[in-house]
Amino acid sequence: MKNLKYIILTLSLLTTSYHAELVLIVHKDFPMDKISKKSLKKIYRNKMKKWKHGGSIVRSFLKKGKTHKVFCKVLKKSPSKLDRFWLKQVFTGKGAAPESFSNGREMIAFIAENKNALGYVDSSIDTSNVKIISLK
Amino acid sequence: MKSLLALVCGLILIGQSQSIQASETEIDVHGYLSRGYMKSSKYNYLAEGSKNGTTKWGEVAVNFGYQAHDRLRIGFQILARELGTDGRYKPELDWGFLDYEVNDWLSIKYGRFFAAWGFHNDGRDADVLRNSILLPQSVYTEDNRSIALLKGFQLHGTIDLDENNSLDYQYAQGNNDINSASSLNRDIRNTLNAQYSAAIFGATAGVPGGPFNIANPITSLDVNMNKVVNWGVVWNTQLEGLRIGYSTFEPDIDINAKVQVIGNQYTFYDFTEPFKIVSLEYVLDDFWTYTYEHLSYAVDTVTAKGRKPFLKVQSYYHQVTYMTESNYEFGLIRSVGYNDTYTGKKAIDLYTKDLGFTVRTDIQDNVTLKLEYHKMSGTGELRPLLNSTLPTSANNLGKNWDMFMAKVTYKF
Repeated sequence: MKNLKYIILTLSLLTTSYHAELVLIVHKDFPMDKISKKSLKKIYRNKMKKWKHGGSIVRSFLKKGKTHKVFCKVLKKSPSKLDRFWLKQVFTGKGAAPESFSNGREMIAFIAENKNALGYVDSSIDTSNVKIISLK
Repeated sequence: MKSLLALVCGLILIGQSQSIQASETEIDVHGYLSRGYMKSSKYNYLAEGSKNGTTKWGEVAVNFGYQAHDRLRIGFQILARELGTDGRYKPELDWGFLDYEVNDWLSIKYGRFFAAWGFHNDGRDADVLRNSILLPQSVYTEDNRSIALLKGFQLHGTIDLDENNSLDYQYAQGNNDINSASSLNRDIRNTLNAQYSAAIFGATAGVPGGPFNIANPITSLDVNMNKVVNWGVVWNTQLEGLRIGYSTFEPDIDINAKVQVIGNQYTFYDFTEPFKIVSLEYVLDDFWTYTYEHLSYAVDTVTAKGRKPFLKVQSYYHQVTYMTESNYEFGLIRSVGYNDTYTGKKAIDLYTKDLGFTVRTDIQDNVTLKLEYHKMSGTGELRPLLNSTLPTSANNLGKNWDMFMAKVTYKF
């Protein structure tokens, strides 16, 4: 019921239909319930590295697939350009590449173990081990 | 060659074990290996033997990154490269620094790092970061590779101007010893050898046994870059995809040469106009990218005999790239450089105009292939060291030539 509430909240805050296919996920103890689109972009463009409540942000990616494409659209980057952006961060010493996963279940398992991690999965996957936050 | 093979094998092993190391020690390990081929229709360009086609062109790099603290990141990259006879795969520290985040908008970097120089200087060593194999030589010449790395400190960060505008900034002070094996050092040595050889010949015309004809009178050469002030800003505008940048780099370069017969000679390169780079990029729908960058600077040489204008450069390029959804990226580039605009001369050895077509595709997740063709006009970027006879307006050797390049890169 709680998950459903957040999904509905997420959907109500987004305008285009493709957003409806993914949800943002964090660790169960994560203190925030929502994140702004601007902050999300800054996080995945390596311009925001720490959570406001403390701790380095641990970003995670899906390696490929429809959900990853949808997420890239939220960031207004194509998957290829986003890959290249992070490649540049790595090869110029500006930051570590996000953790990457082959599927949503692996990502959920990782986030369930990492208090400062952020990720996204298809909304149809069981997310009972993590917390869903909305995009405002 | 054996050491290179060992280095490559080592890097591949490191690459295969990167996830294990990352999870146990939180040290990120990445790198790349690349190998290229270049063939020019007439002249040796960038590398010895390119007139006949050469594969003496490649890089091997491995970098390590460690988040020591919430606010402190440490990293370094070892790079071994070869371009003709430059580099010879000798491993060297490429970049290495501590980066401490003071707050949301200010970080301090200390160590060896790439200077603010247009949009692409910091990624110039890794061609997988861009569409083309080489960065446009009008703004990112191979010679400037040596000076665009600084040892010192840098303040950098991003300031949010409002909801949709932000400003990235960098300010650095530092210096750099120009490596004696670098192409810049070798070109300076070549130029000064010719000057001092002529000076010795003239000065010894009347002495017993003279005149002395010494082809390479320099016995040792130190090229130092001191007190560099470097800063740059990039305005990420409210128009999604549009960013505008400006950077400036003001070095002092002094040269101490020990010369046979005439003794120690000192030359100071005084940048009467520092390197200034204006940059603009517009990305449309993340598939089309247009980039324009313009570089200018002016240098006087100061010796015991006085001051002399040496170079005044105006260069720019336009580049359009298109990335398809099927993982191909095509590019068209027009790059123009004028080496001497003091006299307004347009002699063919004072400019280079390049019209290039580039194709990039990522064959696999870790393997990138690039092909490109350049139609060149003018010979201003040709190094005398690589060409026994350079064309001029007078000798009619021809201003038009072609260049083909291919490169494969493996990254991990």
